[in-house]
Amino acid sequence: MSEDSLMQKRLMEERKTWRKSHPFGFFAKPAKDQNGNLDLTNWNAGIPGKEGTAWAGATYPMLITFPKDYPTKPPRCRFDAGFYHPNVYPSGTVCLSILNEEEDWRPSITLSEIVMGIQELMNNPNPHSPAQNDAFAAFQKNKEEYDKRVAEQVKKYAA
Amino acid sequence: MSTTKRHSDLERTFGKEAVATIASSHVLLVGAGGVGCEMLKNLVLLGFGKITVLDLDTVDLSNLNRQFLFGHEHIKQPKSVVARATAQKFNPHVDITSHLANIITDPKFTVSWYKGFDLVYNALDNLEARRHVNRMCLTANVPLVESGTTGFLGQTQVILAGKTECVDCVPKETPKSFPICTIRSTPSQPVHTVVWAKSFLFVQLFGNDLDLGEMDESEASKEELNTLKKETAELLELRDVISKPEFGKNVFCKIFDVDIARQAEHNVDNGRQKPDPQSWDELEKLAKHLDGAHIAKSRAQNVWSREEAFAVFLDATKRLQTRFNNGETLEFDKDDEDTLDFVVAAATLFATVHHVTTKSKFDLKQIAGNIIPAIATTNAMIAALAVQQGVWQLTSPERARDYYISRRGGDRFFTVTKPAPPSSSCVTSSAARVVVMCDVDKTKLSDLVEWVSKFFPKEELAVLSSQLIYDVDFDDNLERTLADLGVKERSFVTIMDDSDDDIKLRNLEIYFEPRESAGEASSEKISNITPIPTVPTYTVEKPEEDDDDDDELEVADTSKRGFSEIDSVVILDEEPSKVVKVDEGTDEVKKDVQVEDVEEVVLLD
Repeated sequence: MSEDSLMQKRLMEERKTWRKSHPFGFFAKPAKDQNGNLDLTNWNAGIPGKEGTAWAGATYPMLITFPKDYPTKPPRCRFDAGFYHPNVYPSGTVCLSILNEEEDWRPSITLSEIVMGIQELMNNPNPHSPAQNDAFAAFQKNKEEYDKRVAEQVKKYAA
Repeated sequence: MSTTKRHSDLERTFGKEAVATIASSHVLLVGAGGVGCEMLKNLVLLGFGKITVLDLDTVDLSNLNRQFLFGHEHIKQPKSVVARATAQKFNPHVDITSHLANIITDPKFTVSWYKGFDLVYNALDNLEARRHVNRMCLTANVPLVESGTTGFLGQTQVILAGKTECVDCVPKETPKSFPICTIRSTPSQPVHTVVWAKSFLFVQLFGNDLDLGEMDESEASKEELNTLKKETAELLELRDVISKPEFGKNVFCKIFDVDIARQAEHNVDNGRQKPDPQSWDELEKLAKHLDGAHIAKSRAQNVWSREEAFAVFLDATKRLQTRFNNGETLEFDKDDEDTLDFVVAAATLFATVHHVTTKSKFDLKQIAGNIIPAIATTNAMIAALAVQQGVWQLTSPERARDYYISRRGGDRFFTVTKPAPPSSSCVTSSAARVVVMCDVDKTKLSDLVEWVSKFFPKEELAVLSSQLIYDVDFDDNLERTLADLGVKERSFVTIMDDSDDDIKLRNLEIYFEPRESAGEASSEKISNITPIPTVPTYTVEKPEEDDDDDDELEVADTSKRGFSEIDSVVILDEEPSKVVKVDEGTDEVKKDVQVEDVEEVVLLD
């Protein structure tokens, strides 16, 4: 039963909009379920590191999960667990104001805007909302170590 | 009392013809709870010929104050069965059938089954079932009277396919879940502090497992919570001293002083006031003369000061510590004073730390226990109005109205409106529907797409169940069977116009009726058992202005609540009102009443 028809309608629109045009170097598509259908609530996406930043040279895989009451509520965006970034939880979940219902999430925010916001966050971490100790501590106090870890991560995802 | 005599009263009220119509009607009542019991009594006394009542629940002690068809002796018995037996005594001439069943999952309740009723009454307590019955009634084209109450508020609404608003036309509030980062570091409402105290702190200290219910439901957050669990290993370490007297002090110092101080140092938050760490020494002095146990009992209606909360926190912790050390498994329960006192005190302290408004134990108990008071009077009023609208729907449909008992500021209103037309932005009420018979094990997706294209003439169309089965960019599954793709009998498939055209088709919903209840087998792979619908169109530029509701278009300023026309507004209680004045001694109503601001009614009981 497709009880969540409003969510479906919106996700179909997002899919079509993305199909027609999307930011260069990014990808996003619904995951296949066990029946071989597309699960519109779970999208596999890739966020390329922005050119001219330390994050360039790799595309970082991400799982975007849309809740039942999307677009009233924001999707959850998750890198691999252990992703190195001050605003990424140890689980890989991105902590970003436009993805927080209590902060800047608006139902009109599109998938393109979300993934570009995440790309932007990569090189511009928000020191006010640390989500992991590792990257946050290094970012604040040990820039050398931070840069080294980011470079290692680029290498890991470059292939 | 003889039938004739019983009917003579009704005939005087409704007219002879109407009484005859009522007596020959078959109605379905979904739910035999607070509103359902009232409705069943009304239906029986009105002499509805056949009544089918359905409920999945059994009688509980807490129902008895308002669900008057049940007595003490019925506890643990099926509500539907007991309700039938009790109501039957009110009027032996009606034929009542009861089902102990789940309206959503039970395979008996197909569209054909719904078609067997002249009218359906909803008396449900959850949105999922409401939406399901709504959709089934729209598909079966059977009038639905939808009702609900929450505390002093309530509403009843007539739903007719293509003519009125449906359950989905007005967005409903969904239960909130809270991101852990908000709960832990930036709480801003009393409910945040309660959820923190109850689902995080309490569980960390005394529980076995994290309560994920209110923190967030999805998989990912479970992981996050697990990580959080790791991060707060320090807190768990505190458990090592749970058998010792210093436990309370250790917990307090970590939670309300050390952790907060660390947070205040790290989080130079944009515009947010820094959290205030609480000093043990200071509070111990302030609370020296206070008796925590006494405050918890005697000051339940008052907001506690931080030293009062401090005293209760220590006392409740001690009480829980003792129980924990006796091997008891502790779980939060609003009726367990020890756990409640702990949560209220911790929430109050946490609120103090984060500059959040604090509330009394009484208020916090309602939040912590998710208590929504069910009020028998509201149920009775709504049930009476609902049943009356059903009678109008069957006898003189133009008289049916929607009723709202709502609230504006301190006033409660009794609002009567003509049923509003369907919302053009509502995917459910704007869809066209067809019921088909189809062998899903043999029919391929390509057969379905081909069949649909005859009356859904769009190249770019999408086929959806709860998943996306097909669209122009995803044609992998065309040669697989519907069953293989998860499309079952008794389920819906949605056909969506996925084109870029200026004029687009509305959704088409196809219901797969089970073959055994659909009657004669057909040689066609897919055969419709309801007429092929004309799928309505809409213009994309202005999706909010629909073009398929002709004569009701004069309602230009339909508010977002969907009130089309206000028949009358009456103030429900005696409180002085600033907004609406009703002339004394007359029922006449000022025309300038603004009803669009009436707050949304959340339907619960």
